[in-house]
Amino acid sequence: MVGFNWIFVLIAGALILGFFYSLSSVQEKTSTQKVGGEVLSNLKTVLKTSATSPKTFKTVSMPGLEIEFYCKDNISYYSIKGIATYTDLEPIFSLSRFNHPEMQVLITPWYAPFKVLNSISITSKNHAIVFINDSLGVLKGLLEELPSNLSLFIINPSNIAIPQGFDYYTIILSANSSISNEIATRSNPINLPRFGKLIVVNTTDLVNGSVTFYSPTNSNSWQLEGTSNFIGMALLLGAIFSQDKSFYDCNLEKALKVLEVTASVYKQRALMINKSISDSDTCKILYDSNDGLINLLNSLKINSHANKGKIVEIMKNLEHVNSIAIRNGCVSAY
Amino acid sequence: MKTENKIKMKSRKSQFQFFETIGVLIIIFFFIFIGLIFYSKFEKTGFQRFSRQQASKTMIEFVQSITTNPLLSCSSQSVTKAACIDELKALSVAKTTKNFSDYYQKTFGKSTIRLEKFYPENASIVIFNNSIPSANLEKAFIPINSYNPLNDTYNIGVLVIERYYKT
Repeated sequence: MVGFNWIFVLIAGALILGFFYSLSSVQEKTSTQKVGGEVLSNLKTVLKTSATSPKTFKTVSMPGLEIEFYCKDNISYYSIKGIATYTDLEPIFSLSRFNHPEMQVLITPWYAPFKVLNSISITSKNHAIVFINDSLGVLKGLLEELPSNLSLFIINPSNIAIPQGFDYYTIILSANSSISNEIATRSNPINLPRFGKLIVVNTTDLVNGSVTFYSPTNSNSWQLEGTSNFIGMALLLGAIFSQDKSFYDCNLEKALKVLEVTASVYKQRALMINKSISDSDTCKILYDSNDGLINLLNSLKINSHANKGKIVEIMKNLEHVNSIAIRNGCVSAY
Repeated sequence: MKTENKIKMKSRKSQFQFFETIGVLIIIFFFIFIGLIFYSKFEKTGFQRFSRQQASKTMIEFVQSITTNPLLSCSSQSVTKAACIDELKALSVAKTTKNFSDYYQKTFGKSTIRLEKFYPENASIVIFNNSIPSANLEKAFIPINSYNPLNDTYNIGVLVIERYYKT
C-alpha cells in the first residue's frame, strides 16, 4: 500500500509538472510572436511614414529577428515569425531575407512624368554593392545617387577581387563596358560570391533603359536570368536592391499598377479642365487634339501594363506638350 | 482476529490518506484554474488597450498617407505642395472609384474621406466612401488648403477622415 501511494504521487507530480511545462512553452511561443508582432508594427510605421518623405535615407535599428520579404504572383508581404503585413500596392525593393541590426531605408520618388509614388529600397551594411570600373560612363551618376553610408565598392576589371565578408553582393556593370559580354559568360574562380547577383545596366541617361540580371551557379559562372526595363532612377535603384529579377519584376508590376490609376485620375482631371476651356482658346488644341494631353494620359493609362516600351515615349510627349501648355498660360495637366 | 482488525485499520487509514491526497489535488487545481481565469481577464484587458493604441497609431499613419498621396495633393510640374488638396484630383478620384475599386479599397480601406471647404466658398466633396455602420470609428480633422486649378484659387478647408475598425 505504501508503494502504491508513492506511484500515485509520482504520477500526479509528473502531470502537474507536464501541465506547467506546457503552459510555459505556450507562453514562450506567444511572447515570441508578440515581440515579432510589435517589431512588425513598428517597422510598418517606419516604412509608412518614411514613404511620405521623398529623397530620404535613414538607418533603423532592428532587433535580432529575421524579416522575410515576399513578392510573387500578385501576393506580396513582409513577415516576422509568421506574422505578415501585406504590401500589395507598395513596391518595396529588398532582399528576400533581412537579418541585420541596422536596416538602411532609401526613399526615392518615382516620376512618370508626374509623381506616382515614393519607392522604398531596403538594404543593410551586409549587402555589398560593387561597381566594376570599366567605362562606367553614365553609371557614375548612379554611383553619386547612392548614399555613402552603403557598402559601396569600385573595383578594377583587370583585378576582379570581390571584397570578402558580406552576406550578399550586387555587382554592377555598364553595358558599354568592354568586358560586359565576357564577364557574364566566363568563369571567375577568384572570389566569386555565392550569394548575390550581377546586373548589366544598359542606359544612356539613367532615365530609362534595361537591366540584365545574372545569378551565380554552382560551377562558378554566371547564369542569365533575363532582362527587365526600368523607368526612372527609383526603379533602377530598385533593381540594385532587389533579390533577383523575379522580385524586381513583381515590384515593378505594383509600381505600374499605381501608375495606371494615377494616369487615370490625371486624365479625368484633364477632361474637367478641357470642359472649362472655350473652343476658341489655344489651350483647347493642347488638351483635346489627337496628340493632346487627354489622349496622352489615356495612352499612359492603357500602356502602363500592356506595352512598357511605349511608356517612356508617351512620358516624353506628355512632358513636352504640358510644358507648351504652361508656356501658353494653360492649366498644367499635372 | 486481532491481526485481521489491525489490517482492516491500516487499510482504512491508507484509504483515508488516499482521499485526502485527492482532495488536496482538487483544491490545488481549483486555485490554479481561478488563477488562470484572472490571468486571462488581465491579458484580455491588456489586449484591448493594445488594440486601441494600434488603432490610433494606424490612424496617424493613414492620415499622413492621405494628405501626401499624389492622387490628391496639389502639385505643379511634379513639385508637391504641402497641406494642399487639388479639388479636381479629389473629384477625379471620386469618379474613378468604381473603375479601380480594388485599388481604392486597398489604399483607403474602410474609411470615408471628405473635403469640407469653408472660406471663401462653402462646399463639400466626398472623395471616398466605404463606411461600416456598426464598427468603431476614429475621426481626424486636418486643416487644409483646397486648390482649384481652373481659376487658380485657394479655399480654406478641412479634410475629414473617418476610419472604421472592429476590435
